[in-house]
Amino acid sequence: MLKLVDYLVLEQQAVLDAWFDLVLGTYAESTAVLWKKRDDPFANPVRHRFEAGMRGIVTNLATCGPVPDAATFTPLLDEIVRVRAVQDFTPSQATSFVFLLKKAIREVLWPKIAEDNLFVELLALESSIDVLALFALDIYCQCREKIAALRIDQIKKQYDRLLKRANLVCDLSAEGGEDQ
Amino acid sequence: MAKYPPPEELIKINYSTPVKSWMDTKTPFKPGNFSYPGKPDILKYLGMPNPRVWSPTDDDWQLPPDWQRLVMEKFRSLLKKYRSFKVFMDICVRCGACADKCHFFIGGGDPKNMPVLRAELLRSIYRGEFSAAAKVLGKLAGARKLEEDVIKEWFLYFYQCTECRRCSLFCPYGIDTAEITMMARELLHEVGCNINWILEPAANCNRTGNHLGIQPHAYKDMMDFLCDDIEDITGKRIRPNVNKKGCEILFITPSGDIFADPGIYTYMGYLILFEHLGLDVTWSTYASEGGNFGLFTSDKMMKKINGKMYNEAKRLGVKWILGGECGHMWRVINQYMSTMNGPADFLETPVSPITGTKFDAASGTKMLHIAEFTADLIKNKKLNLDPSRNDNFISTFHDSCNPARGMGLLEEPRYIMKNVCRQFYEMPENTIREQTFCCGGGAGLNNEEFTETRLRGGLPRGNAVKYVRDRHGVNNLACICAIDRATLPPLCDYWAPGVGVSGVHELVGNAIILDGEKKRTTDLRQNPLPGMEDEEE
Ligand code: SF4
Ligand code: SF4
Repeated sequence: MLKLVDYLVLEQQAVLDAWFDLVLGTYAESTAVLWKKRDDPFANPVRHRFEAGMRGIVTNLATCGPVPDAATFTPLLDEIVRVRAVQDFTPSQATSFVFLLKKAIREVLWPKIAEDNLFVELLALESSIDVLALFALDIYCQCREKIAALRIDQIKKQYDRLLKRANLVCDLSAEGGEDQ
Repeated sequence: MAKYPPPEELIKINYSTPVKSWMDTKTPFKPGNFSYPGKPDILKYLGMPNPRVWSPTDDDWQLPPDWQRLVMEKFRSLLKKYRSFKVFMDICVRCGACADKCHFFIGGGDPKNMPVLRAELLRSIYRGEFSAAAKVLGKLAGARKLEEDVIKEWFLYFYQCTECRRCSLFCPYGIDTAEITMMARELLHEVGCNINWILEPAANCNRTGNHLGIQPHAYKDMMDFLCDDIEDITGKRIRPNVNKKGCEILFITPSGDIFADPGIYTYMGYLILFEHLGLDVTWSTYASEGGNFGLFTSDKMMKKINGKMYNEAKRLGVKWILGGECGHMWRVINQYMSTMNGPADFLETPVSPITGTKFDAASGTKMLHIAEFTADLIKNKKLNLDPSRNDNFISTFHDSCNPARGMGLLEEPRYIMKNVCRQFYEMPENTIREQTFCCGGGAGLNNEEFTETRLRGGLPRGNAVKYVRDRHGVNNLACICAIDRATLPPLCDYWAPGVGVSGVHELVGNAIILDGEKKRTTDLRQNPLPGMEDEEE
């Protein structure tokens, strides 16, 4: 008998489409329309990154067993989280897209789950998705820290040379300090 | 089926799908999506209205009591003064061709960053206040009244436009949203709503000759500092002319390049190039700024700052002006200079003293772009180059909005790149040349408080950079604009880590073999040259 992850592979495209629609539903309606329409990866990088990340996540989810590992999923989640981290979302909004995968899976695979009585497997799969949400939270925080660091860097760079020139600061990095 | 509410309902994402029409959606000010307002003492110095301490997050923006009248009068006078403005207000058919062409929309998805809606913020008032039919029909005709919230919305979205003009490329009617943004900013000036990052540099430039407010002795001091570095690297001491009368050429470049990383390496590249040619050229501490933030402040200020360059050329008695790698300096030169301060009859049409080439295209402004100058030198084989010194760089080229869309400078920088380095790859064609994506920092938006929104707008550029990084191993993004050199490094760091940023003339400086130089072991950044990793100083 087929397992839930087998159905996930078989119905991959339908799950992906449902998930993508749900995620675009977190944007303004006119935005979602435009982003769905244009599929050039350079004219519409958000869609491109989202699709690449989502496809990887679903494929790997089908094969990763009970414990998803960070090394596999982090780069895939990064494609999406990095974008949402600069889009005026709150932290929960930015990472919520992971939970929408649960909804997509239930929507698409519910008939099979009910028919074959795959509820225990569904619980396991949803737990794996919860783990992905935790990874996403880590990535989100890294992105936000990065933005803060870039801001500080910019201020430093503007005056750095002048301060050094005026002998107001010493150059630690030149002496093998912690900077590099 | 499950009895608990589905996740998307539990999470309640309220950014999405505003149920109200765009006119009724409130403007959210959050740290990171706006630039800090102009400081009162700067406004006073510039003689601009309504100086006060305020923040966009305040409820009360302390507008002048008669602010509506002020805005409407200015609106009327702008419509009269600029025919194009009136045309742009009237002819948009809302076809939507421009809607998904703006980098801020592409990266962020806020509908009000669609150029058509950005312009509609102004157009709706135009209709509501100036057109008889719409006055009666109101919102049905897409018209509305001027209220304080409208001012807030203008401030947010017209300071989320970099005036890059990418959208206008796609408009069948040639509507230039950048011009509309300029007009909106003028209206906002009337009631004292503007940003400090534009006004303070303009004030500084007026006072000391450059954006950072660096005084002449400090400027000269920094120059010597860079000459020290060049001596360490090449063994040759360069003694550039400063404020010298009677030279053939005056060289002007943005001040950002003398103080900020990585612009200083481009600055060193210029010094090396001039030394190599033995060019009769002088620098000026008075015209020590190519950038012109007057463009974003007022006509008068733009004219004054631009005029300074020509006054200095006259005072020093040069024949023509050579201009460095800069963005909006060239926009001002090409678009406004001749009507504003021209014609510069006391100068001559630039002729390269090395090749004899006469640059007729610059006959109006008497100012030549360094990329044209250098490309001509290479074409005539006047430079002694060793491109292998740039072998550590695998480069691509970012077309800066102003030189690319504003003056069509597309081939020259590429020609130079291909001659001074051996590894060069283009980004995808719908992200370069006329269609180039903005760095997100033009028109005064390269301040630190705006970083988050700038990164959002930087996604399309970053995405193309990431593509060539992954495909060809590109590790260097070259550009010809000082603002780019400040904004692209964080952009790359976020979207395409591992890619650095350089000016084109930094790479030229690396490749040029000076007469009698010592064997170089490092590049201008003092990183070891290929194969020299073990060499001792
Ligand atoms: S000029 Fe540039 S930033 Fe402004 S709306 Fe057009 S594309 Fe966007
Ligand atoms: S492309 Fe031109 S006419 Fe069409 S919506 Fe945009 S500005 Fe209006």
